[in-house]
Amino acid sequence: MSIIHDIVRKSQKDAGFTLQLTAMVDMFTIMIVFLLKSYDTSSLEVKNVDGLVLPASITASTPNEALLLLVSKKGVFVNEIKVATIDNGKILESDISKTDEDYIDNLFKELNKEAKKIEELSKKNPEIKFDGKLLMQADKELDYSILRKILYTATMAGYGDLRLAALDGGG
Amino acid sequence: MFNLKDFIEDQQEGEVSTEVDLSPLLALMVTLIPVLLLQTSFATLKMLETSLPVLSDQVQEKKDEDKNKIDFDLDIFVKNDNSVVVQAQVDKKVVRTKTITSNAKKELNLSVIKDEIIAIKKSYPNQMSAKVTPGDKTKYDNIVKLLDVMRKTDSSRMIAFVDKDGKSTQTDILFPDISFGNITD
Repeated sequence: MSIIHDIVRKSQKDAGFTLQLTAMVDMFTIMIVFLLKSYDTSSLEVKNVDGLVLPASITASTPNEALLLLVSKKGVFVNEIKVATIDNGKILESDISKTDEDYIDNLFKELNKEAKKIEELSKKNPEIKFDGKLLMQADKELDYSILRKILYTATMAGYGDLRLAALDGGG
Repeated sequence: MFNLKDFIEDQQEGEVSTEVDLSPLLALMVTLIPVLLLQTSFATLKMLETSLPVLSDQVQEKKDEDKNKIDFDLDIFVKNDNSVVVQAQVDKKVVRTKTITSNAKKELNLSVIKDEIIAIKKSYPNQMSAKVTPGDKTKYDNIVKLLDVMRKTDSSRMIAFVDKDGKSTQTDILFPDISFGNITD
């Protein structure tokens, strides 16, 4: 960044005039204050996924850490791993169990894997406990029939504390 | 080493500029701004807490704690045509029920639903839980809007109630403990 310094110095010497930087520094100061105010250290963020538009809520609270379940118009993801495909507003039949029409095999396996990871950790550190928290980021146009299958499978995997992610609607 | 005497002499001879050199500060800002722009999230993520019907010890404990309270159930059924049935039960007997048809745009009639929920809350101000049973074709956006209406009222329509200490107070909280009713059906 000393390049800027050199250019400014050189231009001042060569041209014999002083470049007025005060206004630019003022502008940058305002920008930095605004950006620092908007800066969020939370690991939870709005995922930029094709086919995912979150609904807005006026009563929602600040989110805290939970396992991320993402449901877009194109698929279901657990921690960004695709576990089911959604096509034309329906979960593909190949992803659904043959014995139970509400049960999504791969979703259960992935959720169960995450639950076991926490259980393993809790053996080493008793302070860590599996609390069944799930944060669902789902597209606002999805039908409840799809969400019900997902929530049913999550229930089977022991996730009972559901948090619905929404954008701040200004409540 | 900085020599003040030399500095003053140079300044008097016009060799030292007294202007503040802003270019290092500018260089710092040019670095900071792209970093902050990349890190900043302009859409704030929020969450609505609900619960799923997982049978656990904690749930059972909560039920045991609630034994002394009245057995109150508030059920909200959303039909596929966006009409809504709001039903309140005390000791498994229906004490109030209302069917609310969708509005002219075939959307949830949120203002009428809100009126009904506020009326129920006024009758049972100490109750906090409710159950939502959406229809298969209910859009997720409509579920979130319904949860918003069920959880909180606006400041102009506060609910008066008597707290545990016998003091009269007001609240804007309606039924914040919401669960989904038909997950395991």
